[in-house]
Amino acid sequence: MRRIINKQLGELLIERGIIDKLQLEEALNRQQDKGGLIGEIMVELGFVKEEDIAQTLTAQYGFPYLPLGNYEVNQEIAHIIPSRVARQYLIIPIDKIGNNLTLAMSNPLNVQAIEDVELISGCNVQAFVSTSSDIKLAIDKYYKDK
Amino acid sequence: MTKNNQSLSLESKGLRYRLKIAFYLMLVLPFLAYIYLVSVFILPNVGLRLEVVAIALFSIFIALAGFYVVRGVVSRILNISSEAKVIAAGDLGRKLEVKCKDEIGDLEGSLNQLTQRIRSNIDELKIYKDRTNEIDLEIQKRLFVFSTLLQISSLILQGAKLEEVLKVTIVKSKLLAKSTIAYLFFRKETSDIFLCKVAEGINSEQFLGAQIQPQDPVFSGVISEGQALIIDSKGILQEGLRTELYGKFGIKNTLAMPVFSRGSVSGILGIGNTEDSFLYKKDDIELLDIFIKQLAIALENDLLSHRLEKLEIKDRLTGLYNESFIRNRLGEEIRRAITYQRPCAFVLLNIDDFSKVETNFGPAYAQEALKRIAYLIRDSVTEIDRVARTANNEFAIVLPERNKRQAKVTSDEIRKKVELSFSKEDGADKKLTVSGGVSENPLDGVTAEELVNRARDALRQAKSLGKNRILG
Repeated sequence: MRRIINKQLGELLIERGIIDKLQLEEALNRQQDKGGLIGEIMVELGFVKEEDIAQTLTAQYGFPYLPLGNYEVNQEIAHIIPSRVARQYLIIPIDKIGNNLTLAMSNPLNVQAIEDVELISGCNVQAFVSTSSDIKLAIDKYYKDK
Repeated sequence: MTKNNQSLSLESKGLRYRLKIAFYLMLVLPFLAYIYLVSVFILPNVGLRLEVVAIALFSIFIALAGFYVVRGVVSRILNISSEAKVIAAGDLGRKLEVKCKDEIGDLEGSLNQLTQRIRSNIDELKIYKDRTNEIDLEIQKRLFVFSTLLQISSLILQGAKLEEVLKVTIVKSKLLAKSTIAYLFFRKETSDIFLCKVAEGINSEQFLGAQIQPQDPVFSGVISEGQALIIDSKGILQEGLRTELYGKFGIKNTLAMPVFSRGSVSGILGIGNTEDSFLYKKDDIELLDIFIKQLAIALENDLLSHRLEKLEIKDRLTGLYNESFIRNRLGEEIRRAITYQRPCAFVLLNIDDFSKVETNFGPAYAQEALKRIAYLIRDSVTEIDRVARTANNEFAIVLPERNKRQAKVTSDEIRKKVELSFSKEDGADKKLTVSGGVSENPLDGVTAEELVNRARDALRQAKSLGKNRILG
């Protein structure tokens, strides 16, 4: 049931007319120089908003968009995964119904992260898209350790 | 006839004999006069006449006086002769007393001169002999240093351990300048204190482990200014230092010089003895300096070879990376994984019951098995993965971009390949298998150490559960 991912985020944003090729090139150059994730670089450069990325992923792959700011997460559920995993993959579990774990992700295309969460939780993961900054705020809020 | 002539001749007789003959001959004259007087005056009118007796006595007196004069001459000649014999026998200290300024006096003077000349020539010869001995000693010394240098260089070339080179240098240094001790101090890695690591000789226990502060009154000049330290019976000003040295190390004289490494003093090589009156020569300093230079080369060589070891990244047997490389690499991959929100996996593989293989089939077979397993591992991973041999029978793999599930799949493929490859071997002990432990960043930790420890725990568990399996 894994979605087939065949396009890079940059291409998707160009297709949707949010950025142009030159901007993508600039972002890629910057990534080459300083490292980091392409999405975050484009946000930093002001080419896109975090919401644009989330919505692009929603539109392309059908991941539901979850504005985390309005959401209250159960502490116990958050701690299904250790804080280091949440921080590294930029993810946070927000709900668990039966054997289904709802996971807010900045990049729902990170299949390996989903696999890891499934491995440690023993649940099936339902991925939602959220903006990076929302997830970071939620992580800082629910995981006290750094 | 000739023989008769010879026996009659006086030539072969001694002067004493000739003197007797001369005396007898001289007696003939008064005897003849006496006969004449007796026959002319006494025999015709028998009766003692005073003047006859007086003449007879006078002539005997004259003969005796003549004899005395001749004897005086002859005895001096005889004296010269016996003195000459003594001188010829080797007693050149003798000197003849020149009593008169006659020919015999000249002879005595000449003999004295001759003796004097011979004596001065012999003295000169003695000086030459002493000098030759000195040169000989010098040559011996140089030869000794040269052979020592050769010995030390060949040790360095053979890649001998530094401790061995130091020991030889110390033992040879001790042979210089009547030394009873040779010592070597090294600067501690983390401070300016010098510690004695090697000492050879009678007071070695007082040196070994001893420490010298940079401001030590005796050695501060060597340490801070890199000067040679000479304490012997020469300088009165040094008495204080000498007492200090004796109190601390039980030696009265010492010659110590700095060993330079990378522009600073990294050690002190010294020799010493307990003689009350002793002076170090220029030679001793020069020779010790040569040893010091050789020592510096040995130290530099050791430093470089250690650096080289650190720079080495490959295992010589299998051509895989080594332990330190893979650990660094794992750290780097983890940092990259964290930045890019990706996983990174680490695998430890250990050959089951490998010690039995080494014992039963020897090191050559064991090495072949290691190479074969190394090949099977490398054949099962991608180009971005890194494989290392981390211990005799242990391998490690860094799998970037792979999570635990994927790493376990890869490891299990390797396990199966090894099992299959060795299943064709004859004998149960040759059918090698591997066990493995898998860990992953971020699941098991965010540092290389955490991942290695976690993988090792899993590996231990795999072994305890019956080997030939991968756990994580």
